[in-house]
Amino acid sequence: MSKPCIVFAGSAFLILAFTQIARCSQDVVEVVSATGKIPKNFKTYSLFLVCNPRWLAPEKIGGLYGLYQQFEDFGRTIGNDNAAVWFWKSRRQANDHELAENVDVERSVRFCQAWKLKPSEGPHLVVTTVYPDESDLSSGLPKGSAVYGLSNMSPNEISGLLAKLTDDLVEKGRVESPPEAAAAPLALWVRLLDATQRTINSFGCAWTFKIEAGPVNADLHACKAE
Amino acid sequence: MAIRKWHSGKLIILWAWGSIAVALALTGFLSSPVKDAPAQHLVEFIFALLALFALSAITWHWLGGRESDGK
Repeated sequence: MSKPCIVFAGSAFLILAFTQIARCSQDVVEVVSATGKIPKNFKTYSLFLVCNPRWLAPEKIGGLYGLYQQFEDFGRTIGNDNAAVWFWKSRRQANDHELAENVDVERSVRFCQAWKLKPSEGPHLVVTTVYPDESDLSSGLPKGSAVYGLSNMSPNEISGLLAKLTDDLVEKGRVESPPEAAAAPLALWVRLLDATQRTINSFGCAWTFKIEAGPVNADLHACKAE
Repeated sequence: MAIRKWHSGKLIILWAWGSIAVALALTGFLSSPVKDAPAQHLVEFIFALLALFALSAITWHWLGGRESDGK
């Protein structure tokens, strides 16, 4: 084998080895700077999106740091096939007093806008099996994604949620979408209207309406007979 | 002498058109969940009710009742 070939093969081996080492040693995929790409080739991507301005207030810094620590632990326990992504503007100590300024909110907001996530319900945790391609955000939230709004959750509840997600990701390699029970309750008139609709529908095919008016005969059925 | 007289032809025309309108409104009301578009469903349901009331009122007031048989 010629010398250039040996050098090339050696370089390729070293690059491959370093890439794998870097990936294995990842705790959380911390995407730093606005142009840093989310790495590919993971089975799932758990994106932490901070779009809620309340979480950027100075008095929330402790809470935000706590959240980051929980997310970091989550990233460490979900295994190397699953990425936990957090967006930073620059590489600094996470616990410094300018933590909120260092969170890349603008990048999170682009996701929140494209995926129609209400900022007031955030921060959001989105778990998806599809690579979150930032150049194609307009195609909307990938099908089968699970979205969790953490705004009304206590640190303990968030910890419980992350533990459950870790179980799902490690055991099944995916997570189930959260139930829609968290949706806002419907207004009374809407519930009444809904009840009216169900009552009328409950008649089903049990009735027929006949008109016999001299030359005109009509038979109305609630639904078409099979 | 007063006799009861109904305008059958007018009744049939009125209720045929009215029934079509009500049936369309009710079909719209029943064909999709209320949660999807509550306001639209409310309009459809109220239209169906008002149409039936209007048809009944027109029938009662103008198309039937006691009339004199005098020429």
